[in-house]
Amino acid sequence: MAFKIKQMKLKLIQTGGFAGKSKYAEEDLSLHPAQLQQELEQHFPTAVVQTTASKASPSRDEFEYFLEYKGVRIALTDGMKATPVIEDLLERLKEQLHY
Amino acid sequence: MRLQLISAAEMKSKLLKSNLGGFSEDEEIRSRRQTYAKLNTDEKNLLARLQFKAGGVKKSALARTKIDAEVIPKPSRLVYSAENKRTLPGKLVREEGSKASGDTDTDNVYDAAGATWDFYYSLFGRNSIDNAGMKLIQTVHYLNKYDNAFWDGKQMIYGDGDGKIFASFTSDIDITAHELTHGIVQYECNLEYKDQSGALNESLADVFGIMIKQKALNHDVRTSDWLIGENTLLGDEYAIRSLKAPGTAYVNHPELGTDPQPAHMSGYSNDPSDNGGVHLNSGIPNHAFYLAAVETGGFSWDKIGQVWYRAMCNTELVPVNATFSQFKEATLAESIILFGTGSTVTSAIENAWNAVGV
Repeated sequence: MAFKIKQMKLKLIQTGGFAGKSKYAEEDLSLHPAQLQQELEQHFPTAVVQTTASKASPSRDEFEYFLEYKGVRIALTDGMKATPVIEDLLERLKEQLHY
Repeated sequence: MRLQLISAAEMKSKLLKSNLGGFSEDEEIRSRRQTYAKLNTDEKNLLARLQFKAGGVKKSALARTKIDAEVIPKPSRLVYSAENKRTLPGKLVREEGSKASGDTDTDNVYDAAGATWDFYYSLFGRNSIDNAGMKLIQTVHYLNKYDNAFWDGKQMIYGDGDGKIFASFTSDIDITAHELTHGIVQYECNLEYKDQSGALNESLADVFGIMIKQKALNHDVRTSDWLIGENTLLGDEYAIRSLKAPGTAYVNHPELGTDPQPAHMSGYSNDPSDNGGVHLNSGIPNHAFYLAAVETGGFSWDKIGQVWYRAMCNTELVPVNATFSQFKEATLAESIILFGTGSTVTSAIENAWNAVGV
């Protein structure tokens, strides 16, 4: 009997910008210690899905960034608190998007 | 003290000329102001003295000449480099009046901002983004391989592009003009950046972006390619947006696919990841502007551009959450004031909005 291993991915999604095209970078969390997923669980609300980063911002054409985990998408904001492990992971994803 | 850029008498004459279809006096006024603005203080003082002798200037005005000379509007451009970091504004690399830096991106945005300032001043008497001489601050070389240009509420910021899909975002005058126009919208109708008002915000930036490109190239509505970002999106057959044919700026691009912009309300879509599709649905008012300009003929900025500018500045008819329909009504109201109810211009504008389903 073959076991199907479910991939658990964290996506950093870049939207908007002058060209209005979305792109993303992702990380397979199964390659990381289980503790990372536990920390992520604490950061992701399951009931509320935020789809807009900062509507009051005067910026125009600036990229917006979202994190997606287990189908839940939240806006990535500069003031977001994260553990050092998650911060490191986010930095790697940001580099892929030249953030 | 600020000079009155267009006197009431001149405006009245300008409107009369517009209604008669002639722009010779308008051109003359514009040219006279541009020439005067380029004179140095001594030349302005000499001119004032000569005019005074000829009886053209009151003595009280002559006494103010030195003060006036200092407040004649002119652009104040500052270009910085982020040196591929996040720091803003970064290191100053060129300022107003200084010679070319030798860095293509720096000199591109310096020149493009100058053309944009001149467009708004010579056509509408507008002195910079806030109409009060605001400095035009621009930062180039932002981050590393950054595929974007944006207005952050205070300044313009440009990335170098990744070199594979996008070239530097300083490569097109229409992109600089687009970002500066976001600033002007902020100081005028200040359209909310979501849904239809956000798409109108994007559209106004494109509409003035294309007009500034057309003016710089002396292209009329027939000779213009109506493309935004044609040098920035790499590949001869690609551009970022088309006002003439939204949805065709790029087709089957290996990385980006096909331009998703609609040209008609039937294609309106709500993309929650882009503030309700502000970069998508702008194709609809963009195309309305194109249709109105082509039906009117000539240079886009002469008539339709005048109407769009006045609508953009009409905060009574264009609230911050304006819909396409409200903006349509504003353009019709302004066109009636400028050109009359039954004029070809007003008719062209009405036809254009109807054609895109607004």
